Amino acid sequence: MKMYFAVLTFLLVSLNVSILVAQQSDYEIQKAYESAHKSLLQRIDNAESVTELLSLREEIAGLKNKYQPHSTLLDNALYPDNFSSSIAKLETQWSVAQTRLAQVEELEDENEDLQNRVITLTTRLEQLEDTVKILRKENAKLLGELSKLRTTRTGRTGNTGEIRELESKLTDNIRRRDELIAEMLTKIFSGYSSDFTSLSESQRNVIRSDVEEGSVLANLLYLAQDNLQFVKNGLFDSFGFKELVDNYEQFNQDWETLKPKIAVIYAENEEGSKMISAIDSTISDWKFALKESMWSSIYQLFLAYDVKVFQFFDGQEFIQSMKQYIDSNMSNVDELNEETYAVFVDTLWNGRLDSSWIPMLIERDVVTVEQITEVKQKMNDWHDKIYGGSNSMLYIIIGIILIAAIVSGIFLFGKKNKKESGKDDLNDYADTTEENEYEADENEEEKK
Amino acid sequence: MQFKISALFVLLLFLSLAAAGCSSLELKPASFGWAVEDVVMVESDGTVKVERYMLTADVSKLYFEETGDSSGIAGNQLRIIRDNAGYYYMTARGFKNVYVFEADDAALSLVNKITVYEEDVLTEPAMNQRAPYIELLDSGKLPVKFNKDGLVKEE
Repeated sequence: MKMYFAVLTFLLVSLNVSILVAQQSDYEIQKAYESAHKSLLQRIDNAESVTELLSLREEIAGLKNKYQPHSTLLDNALYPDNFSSSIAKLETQWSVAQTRLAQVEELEDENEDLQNRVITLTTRLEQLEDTVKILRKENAKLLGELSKLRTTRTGRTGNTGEIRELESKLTDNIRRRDELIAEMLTKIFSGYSSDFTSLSESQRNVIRSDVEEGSVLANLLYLAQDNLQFVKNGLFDSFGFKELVDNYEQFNQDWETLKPKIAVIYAENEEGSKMISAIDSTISDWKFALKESMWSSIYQLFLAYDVKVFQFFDGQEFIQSMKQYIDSNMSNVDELNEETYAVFVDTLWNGRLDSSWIPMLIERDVVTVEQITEVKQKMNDWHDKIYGGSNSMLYIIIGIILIAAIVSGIFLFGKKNKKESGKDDLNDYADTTEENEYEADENEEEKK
Repeated sequence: MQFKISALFVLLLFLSLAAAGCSSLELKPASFGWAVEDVVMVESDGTVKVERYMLTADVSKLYFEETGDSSGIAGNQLRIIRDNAGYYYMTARGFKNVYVFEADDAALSLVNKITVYEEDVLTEPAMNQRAPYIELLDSGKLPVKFNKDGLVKEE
């Protein structure tokens, strides 16, 4: 009995204790839920990584499960929300945060890529800039040597081998620099819209920084200047000159494409504007130097063979000079000699000009085909004067002889035919007599 | 005599008409219960305000009634809940009683004063809506239930 009473007492005490432990104020539940909800909402908003968000998602599920038994209480207490809508609010906020963080992480990845690209680009630009510097120094040295050699060159048999070797080295160096600078430009401008006016200020700053990092404008100016010097110091054959012109045209075309972009990047920047003007001016000088160099190279050909033509600086003057030279040689009969003709026509014109420079001059509309024909006609006249007749007269004589031969041939042939036709007449006559005699015999037989 | 009868008749008629005119329109059932009690801070002027239910009241006299002193009550927490019948229940830490009020003309009128524990004051009181009752919890004590009339025993 005593034992039974003790057990009963224990059970009652246990029951009371469990009741005491279990009792909880609705107000506390509401406040605890609101507090947890608010905290979770804040942590979702402040989450800095998708990983962090994933753990918060689990916490939302945990909160929902924990307070599910109190959902009726919370539905009433959380005015104007209810339990479901407050959980939904957390889930929506979580989705928004996830989208935001995904975008941020994507942007961060992009940014990291961009930073890596900038680092790589900067390193490459530095390498390119160093190589360009070395090439520039080498070019300056080569140009100096070339200039020295040219001033000591004499006559038509000058030390052309060495000069050509230097010219070839210089051309290669300039081409390499051109390629390196083109590579710089490609690296700097790739990845941006072709419409530079739409670039943001920060993008312009990045490009400007890259352009300055590679000293792009300065290098372009140096390249144009070196080309200019090279052209000024050189005498070229038509093939070498064609390469120079192609080089100039390519550079000019590239610059015309690049200039508007550079102008946008360096808008309101005095230093940039000065560089742009300097490059423009050098390109203009380069073009003029090419023209001068071409006429000079052609003129030097005549001088090398001691052919004293008037110097010419354009197509019109060139044609005029050629005509005058031929005319003066034709008019001065005393000085007519085959050697002058042979040097001018055979060696110079036919040997050096007609197959190389002349097609290029025609191709570039410097002279016309008609003008060249006129000069050639004059050469024919000159030839006739020297060699005592013109080919046309020869052709006429040959023509007359041929005609005479044909006429006499026809005459002789006609005569022969006549003789043969006389024989035929006689035969015809004989035939007729025979026929008549036969007919007479037949008539006599009939009479009989 | 006939006059007296007539006067009485008129008086009866008048009273019956008056009774008919005074009969109130009643909307039933209606429920006023708050899902959860509200815990509000006493302002320096002795008033409390329950934002959610737009209830404002001067509780100085309540504190005076409970403690005999209504000074220095600013900052005290007062717990209020309303049952489904529309009665307000108020109590606070250190109180021995729960006060039951009903809404009156711009006033809350005391309906009942329920003494929960004869010997002890309430240390951590909290009231829950357990329609048709209100439940009172206090730290380390068994919960009790009551309505406007007083404590009720669990069935």
